[in-house]
Amino acid sequence: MEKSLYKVVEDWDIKLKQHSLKRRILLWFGSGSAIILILFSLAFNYFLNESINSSIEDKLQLLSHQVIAQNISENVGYAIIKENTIIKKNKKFTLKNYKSYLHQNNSFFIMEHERDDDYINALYITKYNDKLLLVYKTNIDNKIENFQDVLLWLVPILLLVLVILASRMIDKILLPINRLIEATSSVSVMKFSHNIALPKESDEIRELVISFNKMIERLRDGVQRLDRFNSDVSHELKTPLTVIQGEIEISLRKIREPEVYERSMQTIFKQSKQIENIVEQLLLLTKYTKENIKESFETCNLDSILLDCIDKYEKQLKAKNLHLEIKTIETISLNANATLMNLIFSNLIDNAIKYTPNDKNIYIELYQKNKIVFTIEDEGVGIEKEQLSKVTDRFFRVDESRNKNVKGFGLGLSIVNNSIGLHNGELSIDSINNGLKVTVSL
Amino acid sequence: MKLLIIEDDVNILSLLKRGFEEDGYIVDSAIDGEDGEYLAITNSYDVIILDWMLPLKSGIEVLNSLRKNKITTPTIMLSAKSEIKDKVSGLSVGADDYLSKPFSFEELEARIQALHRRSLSSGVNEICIKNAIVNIDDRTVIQDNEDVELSAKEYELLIFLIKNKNAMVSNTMIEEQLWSNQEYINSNVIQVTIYNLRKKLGKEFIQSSRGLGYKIEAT
Repeated sequence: MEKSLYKVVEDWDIKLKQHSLKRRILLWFGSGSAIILILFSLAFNYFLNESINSSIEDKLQLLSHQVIAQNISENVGYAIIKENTIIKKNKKFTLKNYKSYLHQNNSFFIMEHERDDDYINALYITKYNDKLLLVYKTNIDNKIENFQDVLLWLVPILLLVLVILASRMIDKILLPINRLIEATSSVSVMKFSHNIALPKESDEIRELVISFNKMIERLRDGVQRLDRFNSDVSHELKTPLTVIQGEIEISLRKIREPEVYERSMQTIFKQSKQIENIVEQLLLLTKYTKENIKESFETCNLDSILLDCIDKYEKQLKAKNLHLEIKTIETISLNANATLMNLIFSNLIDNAIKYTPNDKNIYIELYQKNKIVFTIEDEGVGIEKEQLSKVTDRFFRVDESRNKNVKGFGLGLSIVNNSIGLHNGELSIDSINNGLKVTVSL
Repeated sequence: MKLLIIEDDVNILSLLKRGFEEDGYIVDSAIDGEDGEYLAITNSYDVIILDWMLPLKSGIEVLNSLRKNKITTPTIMLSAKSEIKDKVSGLSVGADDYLSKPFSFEELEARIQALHRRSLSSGVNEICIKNAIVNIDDRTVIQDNEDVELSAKEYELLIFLIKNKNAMVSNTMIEEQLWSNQEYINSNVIQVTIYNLRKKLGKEFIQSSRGLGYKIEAT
């Protein structure tokens, strides 16, 4: 019940947000087109008015010529004025206040104050000889007024049609986004099951969906790695914990000989050491960052660090009868974190020893050429191609069910990779004919 | 009761073995999946304790192939994985119970007893047979309202005979059930155990046929 209510609210929220985007576009588009339409009709109105007026003027001018030529048509009023008095006029000349126009000659007026919705009156004044001729025409069809009426209706209707069309169009454009929203809201850390279906048109939305799907892919990968890491950490820590708890529980069930307690204590001590080891290695992985690593830098003689590391493994090399050959070693000093450098060399040598069968060879090189390069080659079991990219994951071990013949937690290479990254170096691992070649370049 | 423990961590294996043997269980053990599967197929056990992560063959794979081979021995899985989905996937391939590490030995033992009880007497903790009542939890036997004192081996033998009631149980079967693979026993020991048990419960309680073995006849 609660969940469904939440879902409804969420849906509503999405709709509202989307509507606000739509509303915004409509608002901008609507007001923009309204302004354009109004400006356009104003301009149109103005020019139309001008052209109508000038056509009336032309007509009146023609009529005035006819009056002068004594060739008078019936439907026009006229008056001839000499020195402010009418000397001749016809019936149709109904203009009363003609005197106010007289100071202008050769002029044309639309009688604005006489205007009504359907008709207009116009006056044309022209000079001939020493007289003034006034031609006054009434009841001219008021075309401009009609046109203005039409415009007054047309502009809002047009605007409405435009807005409706635009709204439809926006809906259509938003449809794939809508789908994207639906699909994305169903993606969660627990559920990466479906990618979003690609739209048919190859447009920006398609690009968006493609990149979104890629993002889901990467997230899924990351979460899977994290899941694996979690289960590995818990496994590695829970096993010694089980031993410790079990040892104590069984020892306490009854009074025992001191030797039994002693053996139990030793087991518990060993197991707690193992837990400490895991925790310490995990801390080491997170202790240094790119920012704080510089503070721990000191001048290191890489060759002597390497030789020290090799010395440490003398016993283990002998135990497996492995032959470690140093092909080249140059004197190199570098500003670096000595502990991490030591770890890099130790872990790589340790790995090579672990995964190389008895009586085989391990080759080591350390030289400087543009970069500082350290390589270690073994004649071991190698790693399958598809697993190469995972070997630096924390706790990753090539054998899924963890071959117990090889001791370790799978943290080594992860630490190495991390340490090299902190020194802005690169780690590359390649399978070679018989075994593995690990290259570190700094 | 005879247990098979398949666990790759030698420390856990050793403490489980010690704990169970101290309580009178007979324990066989294997440290990888293939070995464990072989033991489970070739011997009969009352309960199998199976670790999830095993070298060579995982616990799930072992369980799968056991169930395919019609071996329905009650099995409890141990794992560091503690998520519900892990438990579900373990139980769905045929495990009878699931315990996540770290666990308490006491709990494991209680669960194993419950599993054993379920397979032996469909959940009841007392079995009535002839004129005797066997309490599986307390490991006590009462005959005609009187307590019968049995040694651990005698009790195990009685339970084994009850489990196979109305069927003949041979010396070899008894040897396999009551002693672990690692122990060497003299066939005399079996004879002595049988003799003692018959003496305590009465000759007519357990029938013996020369050369064939022993059985309890009951309805």
